[in-house]
Amino acid sequence: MQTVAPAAVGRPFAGSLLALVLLAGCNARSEPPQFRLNMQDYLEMIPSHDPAEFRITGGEEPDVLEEKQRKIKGLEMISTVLFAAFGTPDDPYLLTEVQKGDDNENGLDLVAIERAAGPVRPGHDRSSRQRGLYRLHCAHCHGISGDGAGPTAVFLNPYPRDYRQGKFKFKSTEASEKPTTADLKRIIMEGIPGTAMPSFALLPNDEIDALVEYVKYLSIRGETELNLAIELFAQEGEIEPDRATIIEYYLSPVVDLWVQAEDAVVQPPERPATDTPQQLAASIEEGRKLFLSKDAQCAQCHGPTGLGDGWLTDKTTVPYDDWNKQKSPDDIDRWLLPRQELRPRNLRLGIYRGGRRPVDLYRRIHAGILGAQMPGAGPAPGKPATLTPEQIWHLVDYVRSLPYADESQPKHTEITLHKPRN
Amino acid sequence: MHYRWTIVAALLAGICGCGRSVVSDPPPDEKLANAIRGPQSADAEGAAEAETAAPTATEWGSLAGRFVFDGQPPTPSPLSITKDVPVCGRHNLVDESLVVGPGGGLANVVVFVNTRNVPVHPDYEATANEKVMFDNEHCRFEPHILALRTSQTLVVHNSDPVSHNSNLAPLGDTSINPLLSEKGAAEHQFKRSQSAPVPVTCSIHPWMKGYVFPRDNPYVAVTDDQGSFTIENLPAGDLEFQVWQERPGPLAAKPEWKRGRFKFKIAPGDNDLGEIQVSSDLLN
Repeated sequence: MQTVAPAAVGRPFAGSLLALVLLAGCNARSEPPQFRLNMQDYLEMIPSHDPAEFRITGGEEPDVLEEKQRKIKGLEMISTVLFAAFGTPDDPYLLTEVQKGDDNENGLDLVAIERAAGPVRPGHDRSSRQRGLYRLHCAHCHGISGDGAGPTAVFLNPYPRDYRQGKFKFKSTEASEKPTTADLKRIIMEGIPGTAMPSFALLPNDEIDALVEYVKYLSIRGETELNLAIELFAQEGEIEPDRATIIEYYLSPVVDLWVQAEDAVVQPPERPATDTPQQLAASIEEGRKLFLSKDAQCAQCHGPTGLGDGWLTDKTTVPYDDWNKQKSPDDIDRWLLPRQELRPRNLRLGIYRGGRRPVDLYRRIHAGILGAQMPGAGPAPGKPATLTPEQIWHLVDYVRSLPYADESQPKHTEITLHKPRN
Repeated sequence: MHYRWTIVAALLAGICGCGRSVVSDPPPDEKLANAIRGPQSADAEGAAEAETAAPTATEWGSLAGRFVFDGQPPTPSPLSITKDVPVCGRHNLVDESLVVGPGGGLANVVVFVNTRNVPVHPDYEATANEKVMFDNEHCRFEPHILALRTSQTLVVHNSDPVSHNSNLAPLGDTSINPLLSEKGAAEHQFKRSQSAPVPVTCSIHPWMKGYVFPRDNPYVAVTDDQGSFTIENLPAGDLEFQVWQERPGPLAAKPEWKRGRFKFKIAPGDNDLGEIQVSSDLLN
């Protein structure tokens, strides 16, 4: 039996040339990128969590084969419906029912989406403006499909947001709601302190608007995909490939949530007066008591001193967010990004991911953080307030005072140079 | 001969080099996609609204059975109570992911009808819009697993003198995570039926874990500490059932119950599944 290596020595030239041609070919004619199916979430929906259920390996029992064929047909159906309703990364598409127009002001703006989509080449959209904004600025972290698994993602903590679940942590709206357009714009403008998300404030306003629209497009596409997959794989039903059905059952419910979020912004009542130092000190003291109380329970996770170390008293359960908690350590191979733990914020650093304004902290305490562990203490439909607005304001004052407290300042130490300079 | 091998190697290098994953996504069926895009339907509302009438049945039967733990019943392992110890530490809390009753009965096994669009007996109408309570009591969830209908309202309540939060993220449905102080309650309406119980956790007390199971029909039972269950007023005829337990998920208690499913022809009147031995291997 001949091995490959000696053979290559025997007639190296022709083979090497062929290999070179083939390898070079990969770069010379790279295919346009495609959206990837969200297989990780599909696997969550089938009881066995087994990827083999989507593959025919040969030799299956007839009933198993039939079930596998049903699933594979399901994948084709999802691929087809998503293509029909959203197009491709180079050539996005929207059904008119969800498209912004004279009679539909709540729809998505296809012109903006086309600007953000596509390859990075100058002068290629309808008005010869820069296209490919998403791929230029976002895709290396957030991925072509908005799955938060671009090539850079694995190096980051926290991971970039996977838009496809339609959950966003840092927003101004009530607990379970989507963010507003203004919320997404603010994140792009200001970045997220303490994470790898930078500020894109130097981009022209219209480019930021285009990116916001594209993030919404990817998120709505991702949630529509989940709705289709739930019907096919979790409920084991069928999908009627008919425009009206697809819009009514799988697409509109998602779009409607984005529309309703615009009216769900948490508007805090006016804060109690803290004009004088005495008033402020009194509010901070009230906040401190609440922080340690059994009502607010802040200290259980953030720690009695706010260092974010409260959870360490119980090491039996490590906290995760919704994007990580379903990743089982047993089948870690199928996750693109290994499981990442969640940490309660250290409140003495003065770094706030959701914004540092008093109103941002108020909304965080009122609504909690969607997809994370932080619960909402304010009132919600069907839920009276756990903490009154006044109490939440006291907590805001206390939390805002923490980075400036004496104990939070770095310790002064003498620096001595052991090696004298010449 | 040598030359041929070199070509094979080069081809392999070429194919593998492009970094395509082994399994690629199926391409869209463009013809069908174009048909979907097609002209906008004049009456989009009407087309989808052509719902089929609710299925009905005239004969009804119940299904009873008992799950028994086959093996040495495990000693429940105590949970480590590290938060609010004065309140939570005095209840001798144990891990409830496997509960075996005194007679060897396997508790907290969920049995439900997997067949879609089953006819529902009129007796269930009276409770169709009830409020159903899921309580935080003694720093655990009571009941451990709560089944309810999507038409019913979930009330998450806190009976403890310390605040709890109940974090649940059902698939394709609204996530909630309310902070509840003593006697606090939050109401919630599910929009979608789930195909497996949804975990509920408390961030403040990390040992707490329970399940809520919203379904679009009332045919769900959770076994008691005798391991027994009864589902009343099922439509007579062939039905598929699914069995679920917290540790394995789908519980294939019998070899022929693939993915924890079995088919059963419900005869009018009482039906008995008998005693089902569940091997301890399935629950480790």
